[in-house]
Amino acid sequence: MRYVINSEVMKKTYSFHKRAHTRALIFLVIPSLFALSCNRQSEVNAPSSVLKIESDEASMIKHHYAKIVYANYQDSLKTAVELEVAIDKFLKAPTEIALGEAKSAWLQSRKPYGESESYRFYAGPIDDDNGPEGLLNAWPLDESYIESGNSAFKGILEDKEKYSKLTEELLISLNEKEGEENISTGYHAIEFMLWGVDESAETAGQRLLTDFTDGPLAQRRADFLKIVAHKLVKDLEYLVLAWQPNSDNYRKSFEALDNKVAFRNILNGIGMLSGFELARERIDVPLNTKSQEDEHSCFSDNTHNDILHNAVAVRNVFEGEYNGVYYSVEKGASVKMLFSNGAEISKVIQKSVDQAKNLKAPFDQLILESNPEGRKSVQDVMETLVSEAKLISKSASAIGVAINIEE
Amino acid sequence: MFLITAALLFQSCERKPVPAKSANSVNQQDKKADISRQNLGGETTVYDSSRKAYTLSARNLTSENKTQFFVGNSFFNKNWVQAPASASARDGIGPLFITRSCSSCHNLDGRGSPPSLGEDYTSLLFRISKKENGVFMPHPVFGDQIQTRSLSDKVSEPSISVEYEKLAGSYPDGTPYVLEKPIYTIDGTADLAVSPRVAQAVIGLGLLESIPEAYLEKKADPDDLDNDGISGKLNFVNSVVTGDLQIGRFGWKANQPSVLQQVAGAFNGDLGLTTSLFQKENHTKAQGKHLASLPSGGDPEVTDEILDAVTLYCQTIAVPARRDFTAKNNLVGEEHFNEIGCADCHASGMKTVNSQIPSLDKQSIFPYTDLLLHDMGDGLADGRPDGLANGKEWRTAPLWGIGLVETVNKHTRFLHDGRARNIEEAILWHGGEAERSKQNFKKLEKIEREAVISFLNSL
Repeated sequence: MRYVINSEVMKKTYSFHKRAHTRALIFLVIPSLFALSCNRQSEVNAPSSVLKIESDEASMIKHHYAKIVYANYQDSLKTAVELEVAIDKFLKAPTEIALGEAKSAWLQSRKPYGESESYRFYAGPIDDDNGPEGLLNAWPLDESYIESGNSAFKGILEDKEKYSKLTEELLISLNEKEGEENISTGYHAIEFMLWGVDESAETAGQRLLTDFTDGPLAQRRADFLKIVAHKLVKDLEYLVLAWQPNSDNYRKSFEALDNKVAFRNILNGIGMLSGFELARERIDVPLNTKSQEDEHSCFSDNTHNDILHNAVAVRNVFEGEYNGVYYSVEKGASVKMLFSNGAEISKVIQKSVDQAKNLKAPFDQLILESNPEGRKSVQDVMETLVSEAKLISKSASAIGVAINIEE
Repeated sequence: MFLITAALLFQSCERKPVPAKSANSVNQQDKKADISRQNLGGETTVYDSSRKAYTLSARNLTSENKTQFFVGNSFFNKNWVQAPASASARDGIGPLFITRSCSSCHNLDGRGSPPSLGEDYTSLLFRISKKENGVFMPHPVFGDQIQTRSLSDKVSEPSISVEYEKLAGSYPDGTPYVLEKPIYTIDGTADLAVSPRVAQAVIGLGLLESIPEAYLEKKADPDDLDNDGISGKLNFVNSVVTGDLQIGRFGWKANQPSVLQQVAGAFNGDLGLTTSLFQKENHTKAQGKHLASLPSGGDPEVTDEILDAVTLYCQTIAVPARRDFTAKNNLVGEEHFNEIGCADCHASGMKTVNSQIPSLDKQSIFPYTDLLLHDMGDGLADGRPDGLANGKEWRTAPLWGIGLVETVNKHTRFLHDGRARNIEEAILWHGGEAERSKQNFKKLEKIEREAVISFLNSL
């Protein structure tokens, strides 16, 4: 089985970090406890309820986390299957209504997937050497790599000579080939096919129905879309299998991991998502370039929701609950229980979620020079996410599971 | 600490006398006990050995620089488009170019390779010179670099052919090996000196930029006054910014003095984009009559703001820490590496100074390069001078991060043209000033050679 992980290897890799941080740990623990006893009268009782990392109770955190991951990927899979069904229906009989339904299904599918992104950044099934992350959600996507409308730079759809038959294998091989924007699979390839380029301030991209019914590329577009939608489902199936209970799979090895290693992985995931990925790559960059090219879902104007669900992804893991489209997991053991300052961290995470909720779509208008108020709302959520990542990192060091994240 | 000491002890009992010099070996042992040596880039070092190991920012990067880092990353990855385009921040590619983005050749900020059969030459580029009256000059029509793609069907540059020569050899212990030497020709042109060069990993460049000049000058020994068979000379190249001659630090022949100039040079030569440093497109006068009418993407096409962001990005990409630093095999391998003379040129342990970027300043670094030019023998010679570098000389390649190339870029092609198919072959290609070290390597026992390679893979 491809996703069986060697826990010995994991331990080895991480024990190497451990040593480097031992000294730092001693210094950090003392002041943080001190701060706690001086300043947080309302949480005077908190330290007694903090779980010891190696305790049996703490081991439950791994199990409950795995439950959430599994539910979240099942949710992602089910909504992706609905997306594929809607796309197949549209391709069989292309109508505006069917196109609209496919778009709705795509938007729906983005919610659970966005919330699953906190399971990245520790070489788990999603992004180890065999992980499908790059096939599922690579971005920014250069649409001209798929279809350029320019004879000097033929896109995949236009280059019938080089790519006479579109196949899943071909599109996988072309994904991220010779350039990190050369994306030929995943959510954003589907997004481009359903919406087309967004050239309007008010609306999202306005893909013409005739793109799928008339002209020399109509069939190629349909073939491409069908293949990519199906591949999305397959990749999510792979993740569901990796995390399903009672199997000889990644989940089994994850739940057997040394607590410290597992917690480090979990915290690395939420730290990297809130800081490196969401705050920096997905918000700070477009805020600075003021360019639609740098927003996450640029064809569908769904970036504000991407941000919200990524922020929620961190909350789900930290609070130990999941409320998805079709699947839910009730609140249970979570990494929050390891921290004496858990409430403080929760507060910052909730603030990022609240600020993300308040972003007024479309995101590409919020970041414009002419919209200082919009820019401020984007800046605010970015700054909260950076401080959230820093706080997670600092707090993790304080309990002896120092993580290595970018914030 | 216990373990390290024990390992060293064990190793020193077991080790056989190694040929060649080992004057420093006692000091080296002290150094090895120092765990900080696993942080190859000092405080900038990151702990990541995944596919994204080369993509992270210096661990200690300040918040202000961080925003610019991510903006630079965005432009590093972006595909540039033909002008005019609605995406005006990134239009103006060509008219002649090799590829459309930096990340195309430096995938995940990593290393390029020769193309597989039937693929285009992208991350392996070709510098060319024409020899006239004993002097090497840019080609009158094609300039000093082949661009494989063009926006105009009226102008195209010649295609490239390759043949391989198989070179069989063996170790003193009888183990045979076969190396493959690629011989490139530029079709339809004669009398060209051709220098193939593969894209290098973009890690730790700002640290290399901040190695003190005094250190490099002291390391240099162009006339081999100390008689150790190793000369090592500095390349001095023109700074486009100041107009002065400066020490060359970047590129396979150390022909670029700064990261800024390296980046601007690549924008110009590889993507056909103008910057404030290189304001002219990369085609020659002879090609210009067909190309001059094509629309420009702005003047310059890459604004200073973008150029600065991409430069800062390239300066501050972190070097990943060593893996399995205390593994006995790696410690033994490093000991051999030092004793057989590899470390004479693949130098480490210097301290950076005067960086404009606070996080890069005063860092103890272990790049395993002296940034100097060395005669590497006939086997590797390209016969094409570059600045003060002659046709046999190459800059010592940094070795930090080398063990992660396979993880990041899914290949193990090394040396200037990617001819070596693994680290062992790269060692076996060494000649000239490195001939003796190579012979020493060959004389090691198999298990010792494997330790050297294991050590290199831990970098």
